[in-house]
Amino acid sequence: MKIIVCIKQVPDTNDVKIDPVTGTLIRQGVPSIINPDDLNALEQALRLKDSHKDVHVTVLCMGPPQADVAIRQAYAMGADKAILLSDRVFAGSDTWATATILAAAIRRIGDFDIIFCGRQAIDGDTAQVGPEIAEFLDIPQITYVRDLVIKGSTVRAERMVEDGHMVIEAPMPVLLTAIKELNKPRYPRMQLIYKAYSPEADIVAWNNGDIDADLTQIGVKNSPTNVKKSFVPVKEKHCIELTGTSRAIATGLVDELKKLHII
Amino acid sequence: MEIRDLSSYQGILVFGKMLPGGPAEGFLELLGEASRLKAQMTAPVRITAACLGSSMEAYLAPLFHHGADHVCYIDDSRLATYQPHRYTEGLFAIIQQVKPDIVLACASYEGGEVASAVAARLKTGLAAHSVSLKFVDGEFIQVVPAFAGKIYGDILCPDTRPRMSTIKEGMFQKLPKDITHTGTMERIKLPPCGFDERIELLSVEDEVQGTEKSLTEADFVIGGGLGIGGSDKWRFLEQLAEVTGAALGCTRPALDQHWVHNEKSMIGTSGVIVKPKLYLSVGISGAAHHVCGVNDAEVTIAINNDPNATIFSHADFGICEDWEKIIPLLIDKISMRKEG
Ligand SMILES: Cc1cc2nc3c(=O)[nH]c(=O)nc-3n(C[C@H](O)[C@H](O)[C@H](O)COP(=O)(O)OP(=O)(O)OC[C@H]3O[C@@H](n4cnc5c(N)ncnc54)[C@H](O)[C@@H]3O)c2cc1C
Ligand SMILES: Cc1cc2nc3c(=O)[nH]c(=O)nc-3n(C[C@H](O)[C@H](O)[C@H](O)COP(=O)(O)OP(=O)(O)OC[C@H]3O[C@@H](n4cnc5c(N)ncnc54)[C@H](O)[C@@H]3O)c2cc1C
Repeated sequence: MKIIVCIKQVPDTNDVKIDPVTGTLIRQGVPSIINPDDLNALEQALRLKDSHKDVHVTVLCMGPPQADVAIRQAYAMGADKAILLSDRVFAGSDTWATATILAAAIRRIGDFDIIFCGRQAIDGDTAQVGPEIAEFLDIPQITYVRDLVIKGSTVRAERMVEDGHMVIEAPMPVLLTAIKELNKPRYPRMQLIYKAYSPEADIVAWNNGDIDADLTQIGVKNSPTNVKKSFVPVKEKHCIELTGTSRAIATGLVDELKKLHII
Repeated sequence: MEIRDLSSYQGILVFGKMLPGGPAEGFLELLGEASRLKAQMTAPVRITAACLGSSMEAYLAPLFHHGADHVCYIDDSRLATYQPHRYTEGLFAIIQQVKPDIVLACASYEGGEVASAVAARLKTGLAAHSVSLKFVDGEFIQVVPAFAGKIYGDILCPDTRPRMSTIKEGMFQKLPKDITHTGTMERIKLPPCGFDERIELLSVEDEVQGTEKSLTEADFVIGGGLGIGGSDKWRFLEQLAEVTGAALGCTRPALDQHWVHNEKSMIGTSGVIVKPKLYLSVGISGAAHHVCGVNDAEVTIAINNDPNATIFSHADFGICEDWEKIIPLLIDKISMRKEG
């Protein structure tokens, strides 16, 4: 069984500071991590590898050259192969163009049974790339997967929907997206960390020459959406502190509730 | 990007969910927003409600009463339960039929993935989780959050149609019901669905628990965070909600601790968006993920014992105290008022 896990390198949003004037990110000093949901996708692929014979896990990441760290971390968790897709022509791609590029790379890899994505990246936050890839590859998709069993050439997945969950069986090849409830990702193994940084590791960098994505469909110029500007949303409120004894504060709260006609 | 004749795409199409007895609230809210957009557009605009489901013909009238001029629907037993491949085919077919300029889809788990797949197939842009839609100098701007709501982006979709957005429930307001507003109905057929023979739905289970007052509709929302400190203590918040008629929500850690069982109680980017008159936040630090779900509260009061907690910069009133010193007293005072 061949599994391809799509991982995105993202800034740790908890540490992200925004320049309030320009409305852009201050990237300096912000640690980059593998997108959390993608770690769940990778973990599940690795568990299948641990429990089934002949499972091969490839990690695929589109990003700048610095994303090399991310694919080596994924390799050190146990992936068999890691591919970094990096090219200037990819820059500024929206989800449609990103999915176009990833689908082209997946076609180039050729042989696959499961494409595993995270549900949502914590920076772009759209949750659109997985379903778009499935559409481009013309394969079934099951999103929000929180439990997964392989049965011969089909997958049986428990997926969340808005009001509950469903159990679905679909034939491979299939695209799945993982949520954090699926599992608890492992840590990289020390031995494998060394290996990830040795020439022995099956880690490659591809550019568009390797995958031949249609240049008229990708990058900032050809993305259907573009970000005209970004800005900081909330004006900070002026906070009035309520002080005094607990009793005084509680009374103040009661008054506020009355004023708003809540009680 | 291939250039298309953009002017052949007209009107606004709204795609929402049909529940057994009628359209979901979120559906009506999107129709309300479509009506507001329509008022900003110069050319005549038709609002279409797109519905997928089974045996729902009798329940479509509220769509007209809340702003739809046209309902285009597929009524088919294969759509009785949500399945992404069928719903994608269905929505795609309706959009091909209607050719709208703008598509607004509910950003539920289901709506988001169907909209993504349909946008991919239509070769068009999709703005994710839009919080505001507007025309500025004739340009259609879809405002979306990124980085957990720390920044917003103005998204344009200049060269392709339709221009699509997903929108979370609770983001916009529905119009008051107008039973005199009517329109036309159009029924189309479900096209064959690609993987139909090979995908099997084995079971569906609802996990909607409890009958808590709906967070999205409440005038008073209490939010509890990890600072509450235990499921036994969570009871205080439940009690306060009870005596004040508030709806009780929580942060993700509180849900993870199982102090709250209903996933629908989580407020924030991955949960619900609330717009109460008053939001009382208790033991919540004020992470962007959470705060973007409460930004539209008219008044926010925060209780947190850490003077540096971020929540205070989002609050109108701040109480820097151990909540256990305040909330039980507050419950007593309100209960006494009621009795006395
Ligand atoms: C402020 C702002 C707003 C934006 N709004 C929109 C918008 O509304 N619509 C739009 O189309 N684009 C938007 N974008 C662009 C979008 O962020 C990028 O296209 C991004 O490359 C992918 O989207 P995402 O981060 O939301 O990924 P998601 O769709 O949330 O990612 C889902 C999964 O896809 C996989 N994946 C995603 N990216 C990669 C990658 N580079 N390499 C490998 N796997 C990957 C991962 O498994 C990930 O978990 C916005 C960007 C900014 C800065
Ligand atoms: C992709 C992603 C999506 C997320 N989506 C959401 C979301 O939708 N909603 C959400 O809520 N979170 C979400 N989170 C989590 C979010 O980032 C924060 O971790 C979370 O909101 C913090 O919850 P909290 O304020 O309850 O906990 P904490 O940050 O731990 O804060 C607890 C607070 O309680 C205070 N406190 C402690 N004891 C007391 C006391 N006795 N009296 C008064 N105050 C006290 C502390 O000072 C502290 O400020 C998401 C995270 C990720 C990565």
